Formats: sequence, C-alpha cells, structure tokens
Amino acid sequence: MVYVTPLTRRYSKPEAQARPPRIFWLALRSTLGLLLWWTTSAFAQKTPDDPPFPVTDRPVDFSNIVGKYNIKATADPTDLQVEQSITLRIQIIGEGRKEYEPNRKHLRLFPDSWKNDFYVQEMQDKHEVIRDRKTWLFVYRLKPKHVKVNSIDDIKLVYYDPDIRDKQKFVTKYASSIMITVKPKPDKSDEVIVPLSAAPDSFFEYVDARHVLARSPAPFSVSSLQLICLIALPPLACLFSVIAWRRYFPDATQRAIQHRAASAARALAQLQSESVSAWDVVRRYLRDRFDFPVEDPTPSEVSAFLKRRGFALALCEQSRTFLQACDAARYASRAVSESKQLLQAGAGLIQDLEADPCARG
Amino acid sequence: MRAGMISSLLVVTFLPTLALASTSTDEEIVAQAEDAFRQGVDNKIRILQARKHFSKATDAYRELHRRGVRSPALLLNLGNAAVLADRWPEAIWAYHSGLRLDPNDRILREHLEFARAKVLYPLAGQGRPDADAWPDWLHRPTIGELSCALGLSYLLAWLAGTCAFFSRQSRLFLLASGLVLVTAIAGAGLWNELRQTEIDRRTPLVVLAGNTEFYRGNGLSYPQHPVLPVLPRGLEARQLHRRGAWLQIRLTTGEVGWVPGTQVLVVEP
Repeated sequence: MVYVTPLTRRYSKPEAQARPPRIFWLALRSTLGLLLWWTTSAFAQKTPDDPPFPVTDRPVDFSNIVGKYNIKATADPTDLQVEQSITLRIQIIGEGRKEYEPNRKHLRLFPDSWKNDFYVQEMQDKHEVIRDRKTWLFVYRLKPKHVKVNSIDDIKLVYYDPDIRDKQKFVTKYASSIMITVKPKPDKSDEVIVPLSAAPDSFFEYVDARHVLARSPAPFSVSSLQLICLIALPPLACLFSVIAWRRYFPDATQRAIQHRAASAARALAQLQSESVSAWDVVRRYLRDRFDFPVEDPTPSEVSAFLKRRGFALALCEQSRTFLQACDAARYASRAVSESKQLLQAGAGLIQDLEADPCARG
Repeated sequence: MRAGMISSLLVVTFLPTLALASTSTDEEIVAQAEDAFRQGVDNKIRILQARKHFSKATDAYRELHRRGVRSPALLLNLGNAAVLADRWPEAIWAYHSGLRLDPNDRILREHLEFARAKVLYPLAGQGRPDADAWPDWLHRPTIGELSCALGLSYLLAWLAGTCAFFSRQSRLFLLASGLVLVTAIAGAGLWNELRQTEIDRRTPLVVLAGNTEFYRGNGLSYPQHPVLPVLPRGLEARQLHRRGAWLQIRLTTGEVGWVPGTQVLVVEP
C-alpha cells in the first residue's frame, strides 16, 4: 500500500480522484480468501465412495470385497466327457462393509490358466444372495476342453480385511480342490449327417474290376529301322509293280521290241533243224530284226541294206556271199551236205550280225 | 539308433501298404476298393464316415497303380474316390494319368475340370492352367491312330500315284493329291503329338499334394518366392529339374521355384 498510493497518485488522471473507501478493499479481500479456503477444503475432503483400502499395490485378483469372508466350491458332475457341462457353485460366506460386499462384476475367482482347460460361462440367473446366512452363491457352467483336466482347483477369493493388524491387509483364501474325471468324447462322426451333395452323381459310380484290371495296350512305338522300311516299302513296291506290269503286260511297242530282240534266237533255233531253208530263215531274220521289207531279196539288195545300216563291209560281203550260195542252192539242186554248210553259214552270219554294234542301234 | 528309428518310421508309414501288398492279389485289392467305395456311397449322407470309406478305396486303387496296373478305368475310379475323400490333388493327378492313356475319355476330362475347380488359385491367377483349345466334340487322335493314318495314306498315295501314272486319269491324280494332303496332315499331327510326348518326358506334369512353400532355391534356407510364398494344393506345374529331394518347377504363368519332392505327385509321361 505504501507503494500503491504514490503510484496511483502519480499516474492517475485528475478526474479519477474519487475512489472507493479502504474498508471495501478489505472486505473484498477477506471474501475472496474465504471462498478460496472453502473451495480447496471442500475438494480435499474424502468422498463416501473412497475405498477403505489402498488403491495402489492391491493384488491383481482382488475381488473388491472388504470384510471377513470364506469361500467354498462344489461341482456336479465330476465324472464326465470332454466338453460336457459341470455346474460349479461357489459360496462366499462372511460379512463386511455393505458397499464392498461380493458382487459378480468385481469377482476374480478363476486363474488365467483355466483358459486352456475350461470353457467358463457365468449363469447370472442362478446367482443368489442369502442374507440370513450371510452367503453369496455364484453359479458357473464349466466345460473341460481336454482329458488332461483332472481337478477344479485354484479358485480363490482375494478380499481386504481392515481389522487385520498385519501390514498386509489383503487376504487370499482358496476353495478346496475338486477332483474330476474327464473322458474323451465318443467318436460320433459316423452319426453326423452331412450329405456329400457337392459332387455330381457320376462321381459316385465306379467301373467294375474287369475293366480296372484290363491292362491298357502298350504304347505305339516304331523303331528307326521299321520306320525306314515303312517309308521305303511303298515306293519300292510301286517300282516293282511297274516293272512287273510292263514285263507281263507289255504294250505294242514293247512287244515289237521283244519280238525283234528275240528274232536272232528264233532264227538260230530254226537253223538247228535241217528241214528249213537257210535262205528263208535269214530273210525272215532280216525282216524281223531290221525291218528289211523285201520279200525275195537279191544278194546285192541285202548287202546294200546292211551297208546303209552301217554294218562292216566284211559283214556286207559275207551276207552277199551267203545269199549267192543260197540262190545257187535254190535254183540248182545240190547235195544234202551242201545244205548243212549253208545252214551253218547262215547261223554264222546271224551271230556275226548280232555281234556288230550296229545291230543294237 | 537313428537308423533304427528311421526304419521303424518307414515300417509304420508303409505298414498298411505293405500289408495290402504282401497278402492280397490284384483281384482282392480291387474287391476291397469296390467294397469301400460301395460303403462310401451307402453312407454318403454322413460326410465323415463316407470320406473314411472313400479314402480307403483311394488307398486300395493307388496300391493297384503302384503294382503296375494301368487302365483308364482304374484311374477314373481312383480319381472319383479321391474327390469324395477330399483328396482332390490325387484326383487331379489320377485324371491326368487316365487321360494320358485315353485322351478321348470325356468323363475323365469332365471330372478333371471339377477337381480343378476346387483349387484355390492366387487372386492374380498365377498357376491357373490354360484353357483347352481342342473342341470337345472332336476326336483326339492318339499317336497310334495318327501313325496308322499316316502309314495308310502314304501307302495309298503311292498306289494312287502309280495307278495315275499308268492310266493317266485325272481322277486318279486328284485322289493321289488328296491322299498326299491327308499324309501331310497326319504327319503334322503325329509330329505335334511326339513333340508333346517329348515335352511330357522332359518336363513331366506335377500336382502339388498339399499347400506348399515355394522357395527360390533347393533348401529351406532360401527365401520364399516374393509373389507366391505358398502354392495351393492341387496346383499343376511342370518339373524342370530334380536335385536331391527338391524339385524345380515352373507354373503355367512362368514363375519358377523349388518345392520339396515329397509334396508333389508326378504324372507319368
């Protein structure tokens, strides 16, 4: 205040000289102070809902119960199969602060290990409070998950007892263990009725044993040699058939060629017999072999013909000599021995003509 | 000690098969298979019981196949039993094997499509088999049929050509030309079939028996395929190589990787 007054005086304007009385400031300050005290004291006061136990360091399984209590458990049945139901009745007996009596919402009775062993279902409609006997009854349905479960144990009640003189006032009490026998479920898969309707009807049919055991034929295979034979056979067969056809069914030209080629042999065969005329045989030979057209040729005509065909002059002269001898024999009768000589000479002439290259031309 | 354990494990694994093999003839095994199949059909409204019977029938038919029995009827029965036993990878394998013996068996082909429909292919469609371009109504010639057609048309073409050469008739020339054309078509078909057979021999078709991890190399230490770490059961692929107990396979869409040999069923070429 000592400093306020001079400052106010120094900086206040002349028209603000009318200020409230000093007592007003004192009353205002007192009121504000009271209001602050009341507010802080009001918030600092404990509410009736404050727990009577320490909030920190309380056990995990604390069931929010204050007083003195005991716990009992019964189960029925105790001989069952996997996943069959057990009715578990838990009685909590005792008394304590009314607002901290046993309440299903806060109960932590079962250990975490039960998750592997039981399916647990709370049966709220069967819970019961028997006030006159100070008993709270909680009912659960348990279903064992496997056959290794042989007892219901570790059911515990953790509560707070303020009357205990110990430092640790949280009390844990266990229900006595209940022995159970869990048997495996009977295999009822045979009785499950789910139709196999997804597959068409043709899947439900089977082929009989006769066809099943029928061995399928060996896969078709051809070796390289067989393949070559098969490829080569048709052309060769066709070639042979062409040759055979032409051999056994020759055409006119072929027949003429064959006839011409065989004329020498034919003539030589005829000359072997003595009853033929050498001149006639040679004449027919010349006609068949070389198309010599004259029916009754003179030696000069034959010699000239052969010369035109290109035969050797000696052969031409030999034929002239032979035919002159034939003419002599034809027109002047001679002895038989001379005829034989003519036949031999005729055969020699034919052989010589055949030997000449011009005969093949 | 270890060898003893392995031998005992083998005995336990193959005991049912050994029992079947040692005591029964083929006819008896067929009878057992048919009996199990009938029981499966009788109980087909009870799925679990029916599957047991069909599985038993599948085992019996597979034993016959192991003994060397090869017939389309056996493989059809095997496939049907395997489908109904929920062992459809084996069914796909059996139907493929049956179609190798008789490519014109329509029931085998229809049942193969049904079994393929059960495969859970990746969403992107990797490994999905290509559609069959051959028309259903058209006969699929076998190698034997193509060989016979080729040989016959070749022979007749030569004969017709020879006759045409002799007779100089235009009809025979036309006939010879037609036969040459038939020969060419049959030859092309036979070449294609032989090529396909060679492909099947070099890279046999394999069917995955179970969901199988797909590795980049032939060992568990290799990383799995980045796109397809696991292949679904029933997937069809081609075997490229075999190294030890591992198979290198190629999917129909080109992905290449390795799978354990125990996880695949190889279709005989």
